[in-house]
Amino acid sequence: MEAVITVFKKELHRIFKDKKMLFSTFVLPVFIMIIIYGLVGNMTEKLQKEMSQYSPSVYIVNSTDKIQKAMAGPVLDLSRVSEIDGMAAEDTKELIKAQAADLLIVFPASFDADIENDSGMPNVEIYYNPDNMNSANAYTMYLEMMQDQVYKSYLADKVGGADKLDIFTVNMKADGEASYELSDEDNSGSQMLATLVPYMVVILLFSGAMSMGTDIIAGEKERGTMASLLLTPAKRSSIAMGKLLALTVITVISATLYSVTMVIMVPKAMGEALTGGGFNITVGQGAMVFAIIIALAFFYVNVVTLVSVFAKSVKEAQSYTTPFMILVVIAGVLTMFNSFSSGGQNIFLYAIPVYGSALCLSDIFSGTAAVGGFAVNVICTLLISVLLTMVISRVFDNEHVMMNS
Amino acid sequence: MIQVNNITKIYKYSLKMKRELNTKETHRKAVEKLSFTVKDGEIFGLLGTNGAGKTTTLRCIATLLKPTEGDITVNGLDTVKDAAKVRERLSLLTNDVRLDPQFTPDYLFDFFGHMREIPDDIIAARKEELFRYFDVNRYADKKIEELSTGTRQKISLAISMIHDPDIVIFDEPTTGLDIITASSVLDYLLDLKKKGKTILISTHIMSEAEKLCDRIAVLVDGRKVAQGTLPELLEETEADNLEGAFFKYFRDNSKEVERWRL
Repeated sequence: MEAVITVFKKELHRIFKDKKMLFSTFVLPVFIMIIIYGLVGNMTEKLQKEMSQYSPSVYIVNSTDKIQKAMAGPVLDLSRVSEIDGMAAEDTKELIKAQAADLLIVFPASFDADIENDSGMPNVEIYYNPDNMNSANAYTMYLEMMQDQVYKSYLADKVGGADKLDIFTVNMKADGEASYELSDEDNSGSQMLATLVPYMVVILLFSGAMSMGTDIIAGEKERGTMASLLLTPAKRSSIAMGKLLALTVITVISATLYSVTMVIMVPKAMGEALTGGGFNITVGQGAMVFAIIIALAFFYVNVVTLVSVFAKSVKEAQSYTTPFMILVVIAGVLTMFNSFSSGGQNIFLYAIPVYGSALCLSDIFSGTAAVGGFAVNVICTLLISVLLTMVISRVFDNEHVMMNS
Repeated sequence: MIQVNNITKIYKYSLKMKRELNTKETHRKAVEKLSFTVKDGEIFGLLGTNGAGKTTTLRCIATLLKPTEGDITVNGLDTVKDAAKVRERLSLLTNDVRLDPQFTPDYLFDFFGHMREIPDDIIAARKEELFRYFDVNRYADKKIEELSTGTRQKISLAISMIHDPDIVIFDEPTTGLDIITASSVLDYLLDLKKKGKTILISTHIMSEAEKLCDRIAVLVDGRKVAQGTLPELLEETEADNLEGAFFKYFRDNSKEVERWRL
């Protein structure tokens, strides 16, 4: 046991007493994340502001007073709407292609009459340039306006008044105070973060284990320092265990730091309205998250160690672990699609390492976690990890692997 | 006492190694039917060119490798069955076994002391004694990566002697060292001999073997081709010195002799 603790302390000492290592492992990635998400946030905010202030240049063919009246309203800024005749339509299309104009709306010449007399179904054509963001946005807004505001205006004329269009209401009580949201306040997290955070946690944990694990195992072999450890009377399994535990601690700390940074910075980067501005979880849920992270970190560390131990150098170890990184990303991505989520119904899915953990985390953050799924995931992940640890201990006894002989 | 009994060590080539070495061979015999005994309190030398099997033999004795055939005992303990107990009693120092460059000599001395479950007070006393002997106290708090090759070798030697082993195995003790450091390392080995330690070294430096070794075994292509004291080897080959004797053994026994044009 003393050997396990001694190796454990040495590996932690390697990281925490070395300023350069400490900086590159914990401080720099967090710093980079803050800068990147901060920049993305600023740019997104700037873009949204510009978009909200932009008034698209729109050209309308065959506009009538009735059409203008139907389009008028508080929703859209119509200050740059111009009426043109049909002859100029082709020139306007060229302007839109050249991104010098945003939209061309062509009403049939007999639009009002066709509707009034029920003579056919007049078709309104809206031309835009999808490569031009302003044009694409204008298209979306004007299409919605045509299908809603203009459509209703013409329909109201046909049925004899706008009040005749209202036949029922939804969520409109007279007192205006009624709330129809029934979510538990503790679980009122945003769905976006509940989807994004598990995905990022499973990936960040693996990248932490990968960068440290390859150095602690393959790096020791490459530097020739592993042999000096193997020359001590300590059991090879104790040496392996000490390294695995230290790696797990380092991986958990780095992943926790990265995840906390992300939870704080992502709403800023993507807009608080979009992400809900964060989420609240109870102490119990927090403990569940921590247990899943520890089990998953131990699993990752075992995988990375087992792969690294067969490599002669850090570079070789990193190339061996890259396919596992791809598998982790795939498992993370799968949980982002609700159709794949078991929602606590199929408990066997929680037994799958990585995927089950991401599923569990997603359940917790969206407030639908079940103890059964959580328990199955943590127990299975730890059991598989222990099996891998036993294999690693055997491999540490293998001279062909350890001495590259 | 070290007893090497008829050991053979075969390295199997993986597909990757075969590609790297550009060979169709499936294996390489590094050591073949090798036997010798190192008596208590003597310095025994393994003499041979690169690839003669010296390092493999020392690694087998130090329990880092297992012989494919034959067996080795160290003070009566089998190196395969009682590997941990053997490691308690011996020390191996080789250029391939290095110290972690990120740590200080002070930290590493304590670390290896704890790995051998030596009490703290004994670790402190041994550290003071060995660091003073090798005159490395002033480097105790510097990182290994900041030290010169010679200082690193002295610190490696000090750390490898932390448990005051009965048996010291030294692979190429002076390779890569400047003449002053090399001389102090050789003096240390002679000091250890005076203290009754059993010492096994491998070398291809003839003057080193002449100066240190009570008995010498000459290895050629993984096989022992001669063994004896320096006068015995000189008499058998009718050579003036060990270098001459070694060339004679090499010419008579090496499959590579044509390539070397000897």
